[in-house]
Amino acid sequence: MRITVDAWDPSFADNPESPSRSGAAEVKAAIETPIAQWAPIDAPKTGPTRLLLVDGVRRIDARVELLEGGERRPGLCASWAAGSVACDLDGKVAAVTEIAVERGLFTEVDPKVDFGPYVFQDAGSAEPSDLIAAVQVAMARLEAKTASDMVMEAELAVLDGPLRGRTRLPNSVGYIKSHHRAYLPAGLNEVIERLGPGQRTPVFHLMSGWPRYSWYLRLPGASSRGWAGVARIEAADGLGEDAVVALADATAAALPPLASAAHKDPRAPQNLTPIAGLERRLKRQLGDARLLLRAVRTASAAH
Amino acid sequence: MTDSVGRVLGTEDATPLSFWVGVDSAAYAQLDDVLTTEREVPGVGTVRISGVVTTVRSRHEGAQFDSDVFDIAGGLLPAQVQEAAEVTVTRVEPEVFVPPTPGAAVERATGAERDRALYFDGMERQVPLGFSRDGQAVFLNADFLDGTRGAHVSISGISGVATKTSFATWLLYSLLNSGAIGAEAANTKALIFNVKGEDLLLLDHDNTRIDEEIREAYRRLGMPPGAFKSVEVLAPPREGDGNGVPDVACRSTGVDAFYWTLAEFCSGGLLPFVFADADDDRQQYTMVVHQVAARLRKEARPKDNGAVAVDGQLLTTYRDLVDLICERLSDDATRVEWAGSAIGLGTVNAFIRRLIASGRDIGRLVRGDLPPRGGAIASEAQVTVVDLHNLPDRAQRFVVGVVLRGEFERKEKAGTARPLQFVVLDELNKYAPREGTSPIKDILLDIAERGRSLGVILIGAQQTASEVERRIASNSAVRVVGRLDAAEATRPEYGFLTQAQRQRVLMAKPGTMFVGQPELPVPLVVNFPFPAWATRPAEAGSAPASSARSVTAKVDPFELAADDDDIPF
Repeated sequence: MRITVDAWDPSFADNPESPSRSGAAEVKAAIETPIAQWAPIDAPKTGPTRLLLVDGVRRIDARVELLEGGERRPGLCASWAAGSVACDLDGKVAAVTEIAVERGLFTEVDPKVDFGPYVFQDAGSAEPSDLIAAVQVAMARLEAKTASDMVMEAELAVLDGPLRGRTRLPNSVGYIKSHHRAYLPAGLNEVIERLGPGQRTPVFHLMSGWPRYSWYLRLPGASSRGWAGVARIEAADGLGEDAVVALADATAAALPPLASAAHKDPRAPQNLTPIAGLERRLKRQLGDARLLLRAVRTASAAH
Repeated sequence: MTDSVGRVLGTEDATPLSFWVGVDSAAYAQLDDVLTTEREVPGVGTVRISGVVTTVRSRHEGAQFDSDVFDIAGGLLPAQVQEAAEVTVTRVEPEVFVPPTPGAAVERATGAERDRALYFDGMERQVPLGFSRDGQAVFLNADFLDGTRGAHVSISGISGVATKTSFATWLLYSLLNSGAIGAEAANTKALIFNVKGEDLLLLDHDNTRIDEEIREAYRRLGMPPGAFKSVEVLAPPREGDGNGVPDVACRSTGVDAFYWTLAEFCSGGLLPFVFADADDDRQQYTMVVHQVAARLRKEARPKDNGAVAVDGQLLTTYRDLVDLICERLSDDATRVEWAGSAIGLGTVNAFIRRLIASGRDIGRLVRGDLPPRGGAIASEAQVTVVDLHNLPDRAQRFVVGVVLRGEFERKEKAGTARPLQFVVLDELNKYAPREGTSPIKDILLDIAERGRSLGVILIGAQQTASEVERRIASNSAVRVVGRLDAAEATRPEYGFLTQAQRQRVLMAKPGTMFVGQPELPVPLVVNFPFPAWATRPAEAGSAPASSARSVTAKVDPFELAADDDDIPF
């Protein structure tokens, strides 16, 4: 087997957002409030003080090509890390409680070659987009694993990204920063635009793709018009409606103080301050990309 | 025994001369700690690199902006507090100058390891200097104090808070009582000039303010706590007193007056020391001074009680002498004889003016009405304190100049360096200023340059080393710095301090000194114990037996009888 390593800009495939799917959203809006009375809801005065925020980062370190018997198979060498921050707002301590780093070589077939730190992961496909999706899945799995170790001690656990596949964790919500589509019927989107800082929409039930509860929350920031500073939050379908509303209130009370400032973070205010700190730590833990590329080259040259 | 502190940092350059240590969260490193690390060098084996912590810092890792600190303290942003310490290398063993490897474990050096790092293991004769910040003893190599490999101590610091004279007396006490110089300590003598207050006049009185803790500190350094054993205080005679009673308020025993007889003044050629101001040296009349001094040496005939006769005229006071000189210089017939030829009248008058002015200051020190003492500063005591504090400036210079010359000449004649003679002189910048010359400065330079071989060791103190003659400062093997003024600390004279130490000296507390010695590349920070001897009358315990005895011994009832061979009836 011959292996070639492509150095040129492996990050071009590093698109953090998954492609949006089109199709009408199935929404049940009358969970908390009848549709006619939909209006922004103020946050309760007090909220949870022991929070857990979970996030992961990933990086494509190198693109490889495995040539065997005239057939070429693309592969990706990727590193990903997941960790959690426990914020104790009473004790005024934010600490990174858990960090895990993994690396993998994503290809369709096992090259049966030592790739240094990169362990073979079956991507099941040779399509570049599927390879990246496989990395994303691996990262989500690591995030879930990290979260499950720590989540029991928190009053509220915020997992970065959609909740898909992580619905069993208690007191957990998924936190989505960007909006590729509007889920609510056109008439209700106007409520989102009317949200003041710290206010949320009523809870609605979302059926498209997989069932879950969701609500929008506007974080305090420079502008509070349109969709600026609005995050969407998801909760597991298996919860009772009262529990979901309590969770929604908890996020409305706890998350706005964590919003980041525009001059410190280009993704402000949605990128929460503890998560930004965690991401910086995680990215450092990924190691130096150039050094890793060299390790991959050395490994491939040996065969 | 060692305990782990952290690891060598890889994010800062590690060099054979200094490196940074990431401090473990469960450990700490403070300034002046002694740390050590090892590395393997191919073909050489294990190289041990040890040094002293000169900087410690801590920072939030993961914070990007100054305002992040509030998020971190508020529990919103995760960050890690990381401490790092800079180690200035003191010793590499064996001497293969390689940097330590980043990631190598760094340990705190204790016991023999610490002694090696600070070269104490090679010091055969250790003079205790006090304690470092970690409570361990710090030593000075006696070789650099007694002239074996170096001599002289230069102590700098602001007046009042730098405790310069306390350190000088402590150093003497330590040298004499720690056993560092063995049996020699018994014969070693010290001459201390007391320039301000009556601080040093009670060296032989126990300090009543010290407690058991301080006594224990002395014992831990290997010496008994207590006062100096053998001290004699010499003070100038009281102004206007015909009997030469010493002018001292705080003690009545163990004090003697010092003065010079007119005969000694003339035969010893002491007149130039009356004009020992650097300002005097720039004037024309120095020629007249030397001419008159030579004339006095030739013409003066000694009489009873130290008086002299010049041209048959009996002189019993300094003023008489001054009057005679003025008369001879004013008279056209004798002027050429006394002032030399080709001397302008203006120059002679300038000399006369100053000579007359000196009568007030010098008058009580140069006497023709008291018996000769056989050398003004002849003392049997181990420590002789010469009290200058209530003398005017000109008289102070006169005393320092004459006494130093006398001691130096005595040692020169003896031709052997042992026993050692220590000289403690404060305000060195007054006696040996960088600019100009004066008779005292010449003697001090002589001591600095030749004193090492003659056994005269200068312990000089000054507020500003930058204003002291460079050759004196550069000849000092041991350099000590107490609290300094901010502007002074930036002068090149303190180049031996590290950058961080230059900042630390600005806030050094009384009792804290930075001691540089030739063997160590880094000055050590030392806290020396509170004096066990009284430094002011309020602290003084009872007078020691030796000084009480000296009072009676001075008045020997049989002394008169010895003069007279006749049977007393």
